[in-house]
Amino acid sequence: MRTWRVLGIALCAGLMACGGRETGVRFPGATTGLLRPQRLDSLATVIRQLNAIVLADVRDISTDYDRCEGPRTVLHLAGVKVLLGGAHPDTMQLRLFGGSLPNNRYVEMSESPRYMLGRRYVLFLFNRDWRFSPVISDHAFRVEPIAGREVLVAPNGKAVTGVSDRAVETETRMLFVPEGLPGIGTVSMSPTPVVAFTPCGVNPDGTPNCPRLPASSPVSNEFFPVPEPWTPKPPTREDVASTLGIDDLVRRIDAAARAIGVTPGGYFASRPRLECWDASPTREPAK
Amino acid sequence: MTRSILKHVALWGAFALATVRVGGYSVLRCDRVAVRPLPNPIVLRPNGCAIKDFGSPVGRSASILAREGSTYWKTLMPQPNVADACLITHGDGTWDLATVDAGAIDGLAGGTFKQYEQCPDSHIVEADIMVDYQLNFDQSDQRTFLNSPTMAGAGRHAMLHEYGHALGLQHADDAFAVMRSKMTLKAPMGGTNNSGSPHYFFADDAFGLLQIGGIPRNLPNFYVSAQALVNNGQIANASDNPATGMPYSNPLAVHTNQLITFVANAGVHSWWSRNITLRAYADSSAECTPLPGVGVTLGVFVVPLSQFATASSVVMVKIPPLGPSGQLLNVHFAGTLIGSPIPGGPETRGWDDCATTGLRLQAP
Repeated sequence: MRTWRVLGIALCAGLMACGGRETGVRFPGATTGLLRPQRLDSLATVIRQLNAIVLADVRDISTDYDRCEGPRTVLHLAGVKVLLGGAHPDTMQLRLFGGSLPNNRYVEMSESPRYMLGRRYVLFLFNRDWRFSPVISDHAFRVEPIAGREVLVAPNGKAVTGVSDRAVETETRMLFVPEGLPGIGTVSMSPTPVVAFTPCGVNPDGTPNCPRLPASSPVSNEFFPVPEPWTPKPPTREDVASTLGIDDLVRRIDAAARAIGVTPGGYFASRPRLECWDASPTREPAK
Repeated sequence: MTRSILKHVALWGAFALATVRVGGYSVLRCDRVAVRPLPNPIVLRPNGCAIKDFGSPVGRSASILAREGSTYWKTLMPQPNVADACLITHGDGTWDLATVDAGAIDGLAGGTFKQYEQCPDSHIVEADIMVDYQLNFDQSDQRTFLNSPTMAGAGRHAMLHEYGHALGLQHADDAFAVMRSKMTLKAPMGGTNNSGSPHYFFADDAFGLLQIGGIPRNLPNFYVSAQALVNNGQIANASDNPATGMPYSNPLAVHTNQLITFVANAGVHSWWSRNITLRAYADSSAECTPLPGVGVTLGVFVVPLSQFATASSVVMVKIPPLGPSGQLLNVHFAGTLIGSPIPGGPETRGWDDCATTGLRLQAP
């Protein structure tokens, strides 16, 4: 069944005509045996699409451009150690979508994690083909030593605290500001002010007797409130008291995999084989 | 002061136990200037193969995106052309909106292809929004946060979130915001009185959009929500027990004078600071209303709302007599504007807002 579907997709791509519509979708290479990612809506769907969890150092970051793959940011991983799942050599390259086009413009996909040169990461790799990244969703956890602990920091700047049926949970405060984009600028953050709730009393007639507040005031149309960029206060021992280390996380993922009868491993695609970067096939939702 | 507190205990017994500092926004900057869209207005083309009309759930989701986006950055959305090919192209300068197989976006609920000019003077020259065609594009249940792509409203939320990226917002995971990075981190919903939909940008999103240059227009004066921000940037439902983080049994059997706590939330997503009263009340109707005198008052709070700020608080109320034994009453939050701060201005009580929580009380 899958073979027929794959053949159908390949045929459509080859003829550029499906159902009378021109598709225009191109593929980077051979389109046989394509294994498309399934939607990631629970921890189980992550585990079912998990080739391996690896620990690796980002030794170098380079850029590459291919007409079909598009601009790629290449992570050069060294000291790769497989923590769970399929085998990998001790050096790898991950070809992530994003970077400069020949016209000097920059492209990226919105939900893709950004990586820091020289840091160590725990990465969840797909056992599917992929278009933008071989790392599953945002499962790229930077290893940071904090208060004598080995803490796994998610791309959102929060640390891993557990594993639930839904996801790898990150229930700390934001410990680090997310990274910016090379060539574009930096990410800046700012908090909004604290606002207090004040309970009201009750008048004899039952109506609320609330404290008087300063009058609401209109703001001049010329006034643009621009807060100072915000940096999180340095993480403390208390912030990371309930975080998981590498072994804890892997043990819990392994247990969750066993519970659903899945053994991580299998196929790994080192290069994108799904549609070329410059077009995406669309699909109508079910009614 | 002591007398005042005793008065509260004797009557409504309403306390604000803690107010949480709310997260904030995140934007990309080039030479200290927020990176913003180049086109104004943005013409966002719905792909007619995927979104055939504005009457279907996915079409209504697109309409909500266009309406909400236009509040901050002029956004035009032409009628879908059903003759469109079943694909969108990236790098062609056209801003597209489409539903796609999750396999086309590496299994994610949504993704936005973005093309920028390099710094300095960086702008977003193109953004193509793609969301998983299998998401549920119906309106969400405002009583609970979204935490799964399978829930009603997931499609609408994903579209709006991705449009936030298209306009220049980055993720903000400590915030009460549409721009929290993923649904597993719990996406908050607003009350529906103001906009007719619980899917809209909140104060933190709006503050970020203001930095980008999207000056909010024609916004309602404030909003209330049945979700709130709690410790470490987590989102909780009003039907959760703040002490345990677990949902209350529902319905919750209570007795007169029992003290219960829940989280409450209100905010302003424009640059008008406003004072509101937030009334928690219980009523047999499942629909909330900001009208005074409806239902049984559980507690009343005044909240001075700063511009672009969401206020989240754990509050405690003392259960008053709830009527016939065994009666089930729904807990609602009603927010009403205090006075009319801008003479001749747009503020009217008609823009008061309310949110229904998932909590039901069973009278003793």
